[in-house]
Amino acid sequence: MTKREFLDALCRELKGASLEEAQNTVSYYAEAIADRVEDGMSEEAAVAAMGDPEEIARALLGFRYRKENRREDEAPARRRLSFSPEGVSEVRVVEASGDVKLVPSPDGRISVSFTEGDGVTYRVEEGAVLSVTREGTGRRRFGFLGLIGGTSSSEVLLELPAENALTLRIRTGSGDIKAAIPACGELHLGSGSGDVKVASLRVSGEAELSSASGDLELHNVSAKGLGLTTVSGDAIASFVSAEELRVNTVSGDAELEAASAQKELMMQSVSGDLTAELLCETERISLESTSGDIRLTLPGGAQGYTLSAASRSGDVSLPKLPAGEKRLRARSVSGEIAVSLG
Amino acid sequence: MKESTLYPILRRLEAAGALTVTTTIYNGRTRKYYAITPLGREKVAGFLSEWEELMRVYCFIKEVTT
Repeated sequence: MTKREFLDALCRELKGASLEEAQNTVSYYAEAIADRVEDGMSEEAAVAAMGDPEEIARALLGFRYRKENRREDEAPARRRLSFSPEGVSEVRVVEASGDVKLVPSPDGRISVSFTEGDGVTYRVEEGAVLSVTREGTGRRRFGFLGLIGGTSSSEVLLELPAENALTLRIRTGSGDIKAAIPACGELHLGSGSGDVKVASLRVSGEAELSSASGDLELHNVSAKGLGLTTVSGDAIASFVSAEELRVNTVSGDAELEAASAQKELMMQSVSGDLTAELLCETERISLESTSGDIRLTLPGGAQGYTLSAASRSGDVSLPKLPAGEKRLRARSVSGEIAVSLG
Repeated sequence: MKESTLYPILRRLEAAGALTVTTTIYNGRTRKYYAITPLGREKVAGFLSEWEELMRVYCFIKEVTT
């Protein structure tokens, strides 16, 4: 090791020290090496006489020594951790800016892969709740002069047994979430600005999907209760089935194509349009929007509904249906309301 | 004694007021000189008298047990 390399390594190990303390320490060792070289020792031997930089920092800082900081300066490295699914009831992933992808595992185990380095680490906690939490924001090195563009992006890959009753709680700040697994027990997927996509998934319990500015896209998904929430993103679902189906948006549109909601369908928006095509009859339907249009297609031959539809300034068109126990309520302030039979 | 052992000791002695550090320019670079303070001398004297006391206790125990 050269003198320069030794002092650089020492600097990195002194992350827990104050600036003054770090400067004093580095200058002390720089002098100590220089003294020995002047006395005729080779640079390498003088550096070796100093000992290990990590040991020096540990002896000096005691409990203030922070080992985890060392990863910051290491090259990004992909890690894959594998766990037995036995005794695990819940899997949590909290990611800041990266994407999260859920796929079936080839070996029936629970595995999680992520990339660490450049100031990014992940904290993994085992137990009945297996949790993977992103720590550190990463260096701002991908944006323009490091000022715009934010943090480095990465992907967390979660591999899950094909048949499982796990509760999955996945959150990411700005990344996308993609679920391509056949089954799970409960599902909570949330993204701040990314999209959430789910295809061909059977959830035995509740499923809650949300995004603030990203879109939600579902195809062939069934759950006991299915909730979709967005602010400005669209919620688009085809061939979804649930006992209770709830969709909330602010300015985003909501579109349900070939949907089934046995007990309840509830859709709400402020300015987004609400569109729903139902394949089977639903006990309670409630559709509300402030300025968005509401278009509902009931299954052909639907009957037994008590209809209540009103819009202050929009047109309302309703089919003639034999009245009954099932309830359909639609409200809009300035949007149109159109209910028809498929 | 290794440098990694000596340096933390020097830092602690300096913080305790037992040492003063003088930085001088030597051979085109800085060089630190450590000097013992009166407080440092007191601590050494205190340690040595404690050491003598400790040795007497040690010899006493040794005589009793042998």
